[in-house]
Amino acid sequence: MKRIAVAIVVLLAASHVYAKTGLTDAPSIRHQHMLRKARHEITPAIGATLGDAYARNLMLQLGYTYHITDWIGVGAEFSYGVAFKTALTEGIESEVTGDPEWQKVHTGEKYQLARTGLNVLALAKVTLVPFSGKLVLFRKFLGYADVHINVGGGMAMVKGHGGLSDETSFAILVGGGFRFFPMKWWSVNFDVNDYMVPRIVSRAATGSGGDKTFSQNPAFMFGVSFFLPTGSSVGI
Amino acid sequence: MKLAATVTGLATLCLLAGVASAQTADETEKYIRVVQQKPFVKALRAEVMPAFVASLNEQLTSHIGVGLNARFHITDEWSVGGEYVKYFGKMATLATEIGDEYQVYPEKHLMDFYAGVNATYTPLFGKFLLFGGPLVNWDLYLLAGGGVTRSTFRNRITGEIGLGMRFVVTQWMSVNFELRDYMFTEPYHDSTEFVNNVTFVAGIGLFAPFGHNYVFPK
Repeated sequence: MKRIAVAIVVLLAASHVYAKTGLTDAPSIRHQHMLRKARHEITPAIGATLGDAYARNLMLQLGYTYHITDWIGVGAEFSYGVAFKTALTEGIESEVTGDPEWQKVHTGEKYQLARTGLNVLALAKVTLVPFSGKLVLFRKFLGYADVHINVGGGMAMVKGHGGLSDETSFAILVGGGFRFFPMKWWSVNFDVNDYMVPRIVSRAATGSGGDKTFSQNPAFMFGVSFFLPTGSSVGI
Repeated sequence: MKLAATVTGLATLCLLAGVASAQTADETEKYIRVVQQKPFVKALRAEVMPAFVASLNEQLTSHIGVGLNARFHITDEWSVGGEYVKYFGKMATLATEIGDEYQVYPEKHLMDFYAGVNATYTPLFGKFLLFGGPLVNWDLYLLAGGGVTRSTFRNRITGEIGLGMRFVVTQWMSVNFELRDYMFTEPYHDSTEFVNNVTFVAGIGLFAPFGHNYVFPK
């Protein structure tokens, strides 16, 4: 009789344990895809600086990040920049060239505004991922996404134009972006990074305005990341 | 003997109950959708968004502004609304700099306000984990519209496109970030120029009714 009672209690308890294990101990996200953890990320990117007064920089970039966990990664990026005149620079050059007083001294010459642009940036960086999750596009296509923050520093080479010389300096990076994973082994990235570089931004024909300032160079970067290994780990 | 039969029957029932429970779970799994009941529904709700506005692509002038957007969400994807932005503009230091250093004084115009209507479409929504902890629901929307920009005491017909992200805080409140491009033609002394006024908008979305209840419980 006693054995039978024990057997009944055990059987009833078994179903209770089954229910508890299935519901109460479950994590909020089960089998979460760790799309960054212990993966290498290689990112070619292209972009341009925004809001420049005298020179707009078109930038080509190659980045590498090793993601230690799903939310923190360390890496480096190398950028090559080419500077183009802004409409303001062209307007100033046109106005000064057409100025009779300037032409008295520089007969037949064309005024070149002295300015600098970003040439090479070689930076070490840390990437933090405070937000990560999944999304649905057009109610049909499932994908993954994250919002990340970039912080770093390194070396900058500045290219001089119109009489200003080239210079090597340092750079500080602060920025962030959005990474969308159509598949688990690649992502499309949109970043806005501010590359802060001390440099002489411009110098007037009179020689004034040639002081070195800590210039802000926010750049919009569009990139595609490739992740290795191609498969991601899965959480509990 | 009778007792043994009763016990056997009870034990069988217990076992079957466990199996049935597992089978029910398996059957239910078949009908689980990729996205189940949305925790935040916008359809047939109104949204009022007071906002801070800052122009991003100016060189010789500098504008910030305050705005009010009112939208009605017809579905979770589509909404229509109106907006008003009051600008506070001033000359940028660069304008003084190029005047002092190059004796060049480009013509500069300040904006007063923008008023218009727009429609938004939300192609993308999802949820984020915040540092692996709490869930934050969000969506991304596209925006297009038109209206009038008041600049140098004249009204300019203006087109508008934009992109926004909405992070849901509560059932009745969200934090919205947008990029908008207001496009209009501005006549200057020398020529008429096409102006792109690209702005960053940060706003708080307040929804009414304050929540949404599904007909069938979760």
